Amino acid sequence: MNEDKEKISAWLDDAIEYNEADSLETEQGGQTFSTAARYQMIGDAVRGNVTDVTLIDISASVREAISHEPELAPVARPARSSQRHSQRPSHSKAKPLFDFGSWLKPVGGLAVAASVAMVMVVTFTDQQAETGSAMVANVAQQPVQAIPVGNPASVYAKPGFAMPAVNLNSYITEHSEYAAQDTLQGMMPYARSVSYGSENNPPLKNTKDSQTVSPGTANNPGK
Amino acid sequence: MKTGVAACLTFAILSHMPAYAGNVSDIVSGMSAADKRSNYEGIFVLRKSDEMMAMHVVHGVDDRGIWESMESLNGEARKIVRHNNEVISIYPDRKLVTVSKMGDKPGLHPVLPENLDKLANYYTIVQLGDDRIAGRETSVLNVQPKDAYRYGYKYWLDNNTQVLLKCDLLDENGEIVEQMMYTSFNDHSEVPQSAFDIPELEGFARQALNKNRGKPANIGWRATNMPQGFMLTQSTIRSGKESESLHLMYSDGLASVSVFIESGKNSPHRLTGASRMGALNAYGKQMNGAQITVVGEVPEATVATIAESMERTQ
Repeated sequence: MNEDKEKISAWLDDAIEYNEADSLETEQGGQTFSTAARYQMIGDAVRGNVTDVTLIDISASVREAISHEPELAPVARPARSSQRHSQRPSHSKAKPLFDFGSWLKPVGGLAVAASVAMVMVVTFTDQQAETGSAMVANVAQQPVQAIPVGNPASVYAKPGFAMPAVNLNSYITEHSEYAAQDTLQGMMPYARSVSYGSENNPPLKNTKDSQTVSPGTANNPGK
Repeated sequence: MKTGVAACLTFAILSHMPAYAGNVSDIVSGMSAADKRSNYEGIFVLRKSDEMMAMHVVHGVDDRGIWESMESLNGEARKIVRHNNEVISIYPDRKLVTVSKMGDKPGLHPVLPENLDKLANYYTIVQLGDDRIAGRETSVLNVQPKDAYRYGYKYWLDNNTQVLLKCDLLDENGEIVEQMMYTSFNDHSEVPQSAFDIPELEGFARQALNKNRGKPANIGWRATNMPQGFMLTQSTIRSGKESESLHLMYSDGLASVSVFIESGKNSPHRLTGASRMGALNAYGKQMNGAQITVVGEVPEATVATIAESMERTQ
């Protein structure tokens, strides 16, 4: 039993290979391993000992399909007419040039496929930002390629692929997780984090031609 | 006769009074404290835009703190296990585990009474009555903003546990932009520890999301036109080889706004102008070689105002 515990610890420290861990799983029937892992993972996180990820190609075929599709056109959202509050900012509402619900319907399959690719890109972005790779600086401009396992550097090397939208998913996830500490709503921000991290969650689209608010035009009632 | 009329009037008034007729502050305090004392399990649905997501939630509190497990029941399989400020996200389909640790800052909960007083400056909180959610009796609170820089909230709180069983998020036009509601809910006397097990980690890639993050010695930026009530609650910086990303979190106690400032010429997050997804608004601009992106579950005016008012202080 002590030997098994040492194996668990070694696996968590990446001192043994996964196939050795598999043998441990077989010997212990999974439950012991899982229970130990629950606390060890959190301990790792606290100590900052969690190892970097090896990126996995999750959908090469999906990305291949995307490469043959035209870029998605944003769809205007109907303007709202009702106003409830007497205090409103004086600047015009920026025109939302996308509505994921709208463009998901006609191109549902493609949209889901695109978001699959986007989730993958988010993972890559985080990894690179943390490891300090120069690749992160060129994500928006570089074409996309299927990710070979363990070789993240070649992700954007293949011509003919384009980023479908501005990548804010990592920001949104980070915002949601931090927001949970500063609001009274308990787990709601975490729930949002789960939903924003879903593959079904479409990426935000850039709205470069939406109206930009100049600093002088916003009427802040708090000022 | 007079007695009869008085009795009828009394009955009429009482029949319209909420079953949980405590002070509103007590109710909100109870909602905040519920997460720190309750063990429960349930299934809730989250609706944003025209998407719906169902999740299985298990929540528990023991001497080591708060445990929470959330597992998506539709779409991509995903499970989050939270222990206090540490969050483990498991993506079985992608064989990926991410681990993040938020700051040790306790948040606003410990200063709730003071925070509640401040909330009254920006929101009108009234108790509406009773309702039934997931087969349980709830008290309904309406939280209406006093300006257009924050959303409104409608809370349905379980009368026994004060756990939030339903929440509507209302935009500046009073339209629902996000809804959460439990469809089943059971409170437990003990923590269901097995729900927090992390199964089948073998073969999973692991990613630490907090590497190279720290507290900035000097923030170097400020918002010159921050909507009233929003205060800086957290600041973190993530350093890369060629860029740095500063994350500033502002909160008024209910609504939170994140400001991300990324240095480097070619940020992957080059949003210009406004963008929206459900309750979440984002606004981006470039300034002096930095990409400024503001996101939050607040009206577009709020993220735009903050983004456009950011300026360097050094």
